[in-house]
Amino acid sequence: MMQQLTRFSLDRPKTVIGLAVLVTALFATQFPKIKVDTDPENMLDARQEDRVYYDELKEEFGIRDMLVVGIVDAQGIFRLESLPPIARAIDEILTVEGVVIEDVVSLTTTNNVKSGGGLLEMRPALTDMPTTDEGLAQIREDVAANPFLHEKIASADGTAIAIYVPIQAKDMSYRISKEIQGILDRELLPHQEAHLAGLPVAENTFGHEMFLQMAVVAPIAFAAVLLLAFLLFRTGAFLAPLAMTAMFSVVWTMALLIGSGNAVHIMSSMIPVFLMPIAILDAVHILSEFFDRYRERGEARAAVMEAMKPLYRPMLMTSLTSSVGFASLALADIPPVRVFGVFVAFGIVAAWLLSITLVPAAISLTSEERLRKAILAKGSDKGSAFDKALRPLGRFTYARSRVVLLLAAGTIAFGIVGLTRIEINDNPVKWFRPRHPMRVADRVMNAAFGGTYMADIVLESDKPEGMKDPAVLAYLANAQEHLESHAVVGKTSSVADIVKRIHFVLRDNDPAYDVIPDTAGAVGQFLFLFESSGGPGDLQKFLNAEGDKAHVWVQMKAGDNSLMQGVVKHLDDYVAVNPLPDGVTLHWSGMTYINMVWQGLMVSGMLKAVLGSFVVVFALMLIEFRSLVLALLSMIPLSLAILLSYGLLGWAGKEYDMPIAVCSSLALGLAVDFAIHFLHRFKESYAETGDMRQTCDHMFDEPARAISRNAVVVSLGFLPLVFSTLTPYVTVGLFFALLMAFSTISTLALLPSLLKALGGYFERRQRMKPATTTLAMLLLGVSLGVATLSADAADLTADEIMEKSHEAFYYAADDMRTKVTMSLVAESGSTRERVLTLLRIDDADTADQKYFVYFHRPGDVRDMTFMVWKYADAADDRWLFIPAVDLVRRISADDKRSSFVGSDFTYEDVSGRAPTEDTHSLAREEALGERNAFVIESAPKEGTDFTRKLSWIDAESYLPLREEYYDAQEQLSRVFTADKIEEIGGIPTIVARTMRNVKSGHRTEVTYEDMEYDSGLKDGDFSERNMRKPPRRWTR
Amino acid sequence: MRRSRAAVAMAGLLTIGSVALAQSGNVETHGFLVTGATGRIHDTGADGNPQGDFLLREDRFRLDLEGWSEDIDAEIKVKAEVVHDALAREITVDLREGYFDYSAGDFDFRLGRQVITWGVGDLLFVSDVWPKDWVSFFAGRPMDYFKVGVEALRVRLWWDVVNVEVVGATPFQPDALPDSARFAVANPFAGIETRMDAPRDGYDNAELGVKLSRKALGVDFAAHAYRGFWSAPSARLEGANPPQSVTMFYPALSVYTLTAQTNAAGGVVSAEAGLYDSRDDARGDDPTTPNSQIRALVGYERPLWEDARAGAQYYVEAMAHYDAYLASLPAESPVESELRDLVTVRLEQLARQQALRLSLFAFYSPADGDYLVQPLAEYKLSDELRVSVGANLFGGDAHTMLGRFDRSDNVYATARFDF
Repeated sequence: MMQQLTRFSLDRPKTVIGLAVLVTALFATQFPKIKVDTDPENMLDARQEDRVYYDELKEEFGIRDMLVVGIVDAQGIFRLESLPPIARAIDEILTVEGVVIEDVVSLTTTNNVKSGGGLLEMRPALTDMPTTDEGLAQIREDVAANPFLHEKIASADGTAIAIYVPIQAKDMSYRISKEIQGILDRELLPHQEAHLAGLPVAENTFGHEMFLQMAVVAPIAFAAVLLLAFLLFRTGAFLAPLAMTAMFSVVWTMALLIGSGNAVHIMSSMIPVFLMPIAILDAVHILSEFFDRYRERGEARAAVMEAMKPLYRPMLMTSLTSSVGFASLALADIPPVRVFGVFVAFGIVAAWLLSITLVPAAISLTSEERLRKAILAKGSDKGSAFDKALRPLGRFTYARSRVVLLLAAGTIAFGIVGLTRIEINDNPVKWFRPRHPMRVADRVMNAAFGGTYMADIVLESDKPEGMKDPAVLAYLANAQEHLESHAVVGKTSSVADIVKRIHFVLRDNDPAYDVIPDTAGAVGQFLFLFESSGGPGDLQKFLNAEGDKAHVWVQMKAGDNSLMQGVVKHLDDYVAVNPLPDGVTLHWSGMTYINMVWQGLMVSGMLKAVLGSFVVVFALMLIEFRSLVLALLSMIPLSLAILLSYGLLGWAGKEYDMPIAVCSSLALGLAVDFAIHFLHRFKESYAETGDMRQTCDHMFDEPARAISRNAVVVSLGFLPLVFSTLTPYVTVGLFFALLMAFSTISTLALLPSLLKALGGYFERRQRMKPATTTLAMLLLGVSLGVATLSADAADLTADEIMEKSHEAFYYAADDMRTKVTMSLVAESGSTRERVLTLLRIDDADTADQKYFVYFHRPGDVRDMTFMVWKYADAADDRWLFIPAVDLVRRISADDKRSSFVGSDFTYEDVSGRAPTEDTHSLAREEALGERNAFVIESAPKEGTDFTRKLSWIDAESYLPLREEYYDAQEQLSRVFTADKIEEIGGIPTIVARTMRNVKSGHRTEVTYEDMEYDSGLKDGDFSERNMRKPPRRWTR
Repeated sequence: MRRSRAAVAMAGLLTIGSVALAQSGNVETHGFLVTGATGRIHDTGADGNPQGDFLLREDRFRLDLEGWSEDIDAEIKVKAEVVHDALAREITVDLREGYFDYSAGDFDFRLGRQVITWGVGDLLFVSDVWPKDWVSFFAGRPMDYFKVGVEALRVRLWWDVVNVEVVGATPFQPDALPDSARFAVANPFAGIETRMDAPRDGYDNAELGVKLSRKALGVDFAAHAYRGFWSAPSARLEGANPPQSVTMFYPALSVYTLTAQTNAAGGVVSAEAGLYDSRDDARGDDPTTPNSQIRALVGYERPLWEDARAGAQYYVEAMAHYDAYLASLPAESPVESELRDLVTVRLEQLARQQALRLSLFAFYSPADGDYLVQPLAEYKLSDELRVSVGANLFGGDAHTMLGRFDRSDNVYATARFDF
């Protein structure tokens, strides 16, 4: 089925791409419906009890979410020139839409309770602008004297004031904060600094920046991934399918999310960033495999089909597993996580579908010419840095599996210890980088004031008016005192403070009376007095109408969830020792508290969700591999990567916050991908070879390369996120890199070692295979062994013979030097002669070669040199040096069938025609002279100047003894004969050969003299330097 | 005749010396004899004066002598010729090249008269600032004679990261330009006293060149910098209408270029671009001195079929300060265009076991409408003897670079015997 899909994509690339674009466009129509939700509170279900309680509380006491505006004047706030601009600013802030005017707490709006001649005087601290220093001092004293206002609206040292701005709704806070910022910029004196703090601003600002980051950082990361992919493949043509796969799957997913009515929340905003690396995994696997196959086949369609074949199953499996893994996040208690999981799951499946259709389609649309240039010209991967690193790694892990296992054990221990050190903590303000204005405001204001982080405590009595009981109020006052002894708690305010204050004021500021009165009557009286002289709203914020609920406003200097937890515990401790009065219960609430609650849920919830998906993935692995051991093995890289990443987090002292929690799910998606690919390919290769060592060697070829390519693209590609202004993005970027690195390392290093350690197990499994397979394997093994032992290749195929012949003829030893004499003999007998020195060196790892030719004769070409860098699967690089004009110039190389220096040999005859360019069949075996020869019939796969070739290959040395070329008319056109074979340095070598053009009667006789193998040539000898001035030892 | 006798004596000495040295085994000699004649197609020049039927009629006897040390990496190479100019009826000795080579580690040193060529253009030059013999080129001497040796010290550092070549050359060697003595071109200064003011030999006037090159990503990259002189002279007139005398001089020039050459599209793609900074005319307002220029070329060459190749190039040079140039130009002077471009085409077919070479090279300037077509047929009768016939066919307006040789169309035949 999938193969047909591939074939269809190859046949109708435009239809496929057009369809994908169309579907994407359809999806994209949903984007205008986008709803944005930047409220972390929505991490909790709207029906979650703490949320419901907080909502009720807000309703009952008229509590609003608050911005805190801080104005710092280092020269002092209470100066004649300082106050007027501040007062003006406050007035203007009151006009901002969405500000709850009556509840603004500031110098000019909040009533100060004072006694004026025994009477209760309630008016704001600053009503009329003072004109004298005495007036200023009075105001300052008033504020400082009222514990209700002290360190709340003005700092103790008089250099800063605060304005508490309640707002109608949290989602207005970003706009309001911008407007307030504008007002402050306008009104304040140049040396007065303004700061804006408060969780609502932080959260709302984050929301806004988040979308900015989504629009900026995500595309940068995307571009980086593409750039890396380009660097790896060096092929622009390959970028399009990669880009399309990633982009389309993101568009589909986000559009579906938006279209289905879900709001884009903080978590879902990260879907594109999460989805992109997973989305391109399949595409990179395909391209990587195609890349290698294309080199062998040289034909795109066949290469695609061949490349896809071993990949269908692992790709489907990895996509399914990752998808199911993410989908299982739907089990979490946290709605945004559920949404995130489900839609990423969808995105992965979409990406899979796009990968297996768009990639073949895109390849099919790329002209063969371009592919050849792009892929073949790049030269083989086999000399690349990847292979330089992978191969030794493969050998090492195999040879030293115990060392690797020991290292792994050590790493696991390291990870576990790290895990225990992890601190769970979060603070939305810390989602900004330390230098962000939000963080600066947070620092400055929490140093000067009671705190910008708000929490609420509610005491509830089961009796009406129960909270007016002096005993309860006294308990409350004491509890507040205890609470304020906690370092983080800056200030608490409650009805008890009001009662105390009035008591104190009415007693002419006698400190002895700064306590709760003894009788319920006095309390009632005071409260009535307060209510009637000030606004009734002031009291209502702290005591409900029925008098059975009291609200304590807790201001804290820090909003970390861990600190909030500490504060809660601090109060719990107090309550444990001093039990609550009868019938009174205590509840925590408020924004900082709510954050703590959802974070707790997040940690446990994510843990549960990840464990859940872990189990699901494992179950899938069991089905896939039908082996408990393999299934367990496949989980190892994933587990190790998670363990190590989080362990490192613990060691580094980085706190476990929301973004980090989310990342754990990502590990599932990525790490399992590698393991599945690795094991699947391993299984296949092992089934083929039955040899653990060979299998491991094979694994470190293409499969390891694809895995490393993916790892590099994803881990480096997402590092640009580190430059984001929002730490969650930074975290995700770094974490990607870590996870990828660890999954790659554990897949590539640990799995082979484990597999080797489990070698016995595999052999047992192998033995359990049906007897016929085993027999066949055995037979193949035996025949291979016999073949290599006796060199009697009775069972060698024609392809193998030609391959060996190619080796023997063109690749003997590692390098070669000889003096060549070519006689060009015309039918008439007239002879021309070319004398040249020929040098050759083979690349150690690939079929690449370098040739160097120095011309001795004839005179007109004397001192000319010619250098060829020949690539097994790309066009040659060729240079010619012309001494008369002192010029080295490149000459074109697309003429393999052209005559070499006028002889009857073509360039290809001199440096070899790849056996894969022809199809071969063994015609017969016969004696040629004294030698036994295989007669191989070859037909070129692509049209060339011959249509058929017969080769007599020496059964012993595999050197060609005779070759006959036939043209399109089935007529013999050229004949090659090996005239003399000698052993040079133990290697049978043709030292005299002839190529005869049957039609023209012209022939070229070639003799090799002073031949030397392994003469110690170096790769660097084949250089422009030696072209310009060949070493004397070569030219004599 | 004294000159001839001296030349013959020198040639004799050279021969005897080389033969003697050859006995020691560390010396090799090679050489050839080339004889050729270039005949005019038009019997009169532009000024209507008969020029004689032959443009060239000469024999050249070349002797290459090389000797080397077995102990150190050093060698000496002399390429000298005895030239018999049949038209001038004189025999001269021409030292084509003569240098000393020494290599140590990554360094190559070459001191003496040597040919230097830079750049990747095919008979078009952006980076190649080193002297050329246009007389040879236009009159049908073999291509070996196109480049002229310079007296220079050249140091090359073959470093892995980048190859560095540093050239210091003095005395200054200008291009050999076609003159009215051989070519049917009008001499604008005929009858006026002409003085030559070549750069004085010395340290100050040494030409300096640096070339950095390396291969990367399958591309041969090079960057060049040169400080020296324009290779063609400028004329300064003294005395007003009519001028009393004219001084020919070589204005200062710096050149900075980049080149790249790579396999692409089944052939070889070449590109060069560079800045010609006319240091004596920084503002471009001196009509006697060439303006600064930007020069660039792209070329593509590929095999067509067996033993055949085709190439095409596009070259452009643009004046840097054209407005200043126009403003400074005396009235009624011929105006050069701001942009001069050239298209070249090369076609080549080998046959008969590559013994026969048929080649066609053509220049055409879309800007000026002038052209040069160079057909050539060459046949190797044996490994030693080869003959060739060819032609140089010019056309275009008389004020243009190639068009002014319109009356100098020629055909030539040469024979070369190698030994």
